[in-house]
Amino acid sequence: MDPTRTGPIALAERRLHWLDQRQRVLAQNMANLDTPGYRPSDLRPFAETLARTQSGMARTNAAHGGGGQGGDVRLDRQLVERTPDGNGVSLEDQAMKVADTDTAHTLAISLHRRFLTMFRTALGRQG
Amino acid sequence: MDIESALRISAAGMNVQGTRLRVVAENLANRDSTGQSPGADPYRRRTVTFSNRLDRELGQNTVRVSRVGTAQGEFPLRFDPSHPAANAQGYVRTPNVDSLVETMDMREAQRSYSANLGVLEASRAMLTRTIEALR
Repeated sequence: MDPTRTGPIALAERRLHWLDQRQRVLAQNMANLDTPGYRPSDLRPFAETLARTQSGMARTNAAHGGGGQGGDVRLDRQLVERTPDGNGVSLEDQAMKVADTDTAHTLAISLHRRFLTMFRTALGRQG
Repeated sequence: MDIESALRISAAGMNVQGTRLRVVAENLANRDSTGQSPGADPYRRRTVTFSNRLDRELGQNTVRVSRVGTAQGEFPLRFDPSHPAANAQGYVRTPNVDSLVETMDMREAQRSYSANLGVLEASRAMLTRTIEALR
């Protein structure tokens, strides 16, 4: 059994991948803060993405599936505000999301490290 | 890589806001640039528009300056018969630059610039932590 393909480590890896993608989408929204007619987008929530891929077929190869590259990006439906030029990016909203992503990233990275440390301890190595 | 794209997109966002600030500076600097001869047009206020466009190198949509245009609108008249650009009635046409509007524009550019800088810092912190995990 490969411990990095199952359990918390694999979960942390997928979470990190999702957070990376989200950060890119949020950067895009923020860069278009003043573009007329631009509508912000966001990723499908992580829990949904996870549920969809887990209930489906088993992954036999790491190169298969994986949630699809950027396929989960969708337009934000609940717009907080919209300026007269049609731009729907709310600075506060996006800043909150960036902060959330940042915190979740720290959590996932720490989790990943802790579990790897556990394996190393079991193998009789330090830290 | 997504984080790297995020860094580049934020940089593009800061870049366009920089262009916007440059145009604001240009407008404010030319606030009193009138014509040289009777009937000549004074400086016309310039504007920037942005658009969301595909960056082929990055393979992602980023933001670009789509056009630096000129603002329409009447030139305010000022009574100054001794001015070289004064018309027969003694009025000079002055640039259609409103310093209040320009200051507001400058503030907004600053705000957007800091927002992009914030995202850039968050992305960079994420990248650093990921690299730290290798140690």
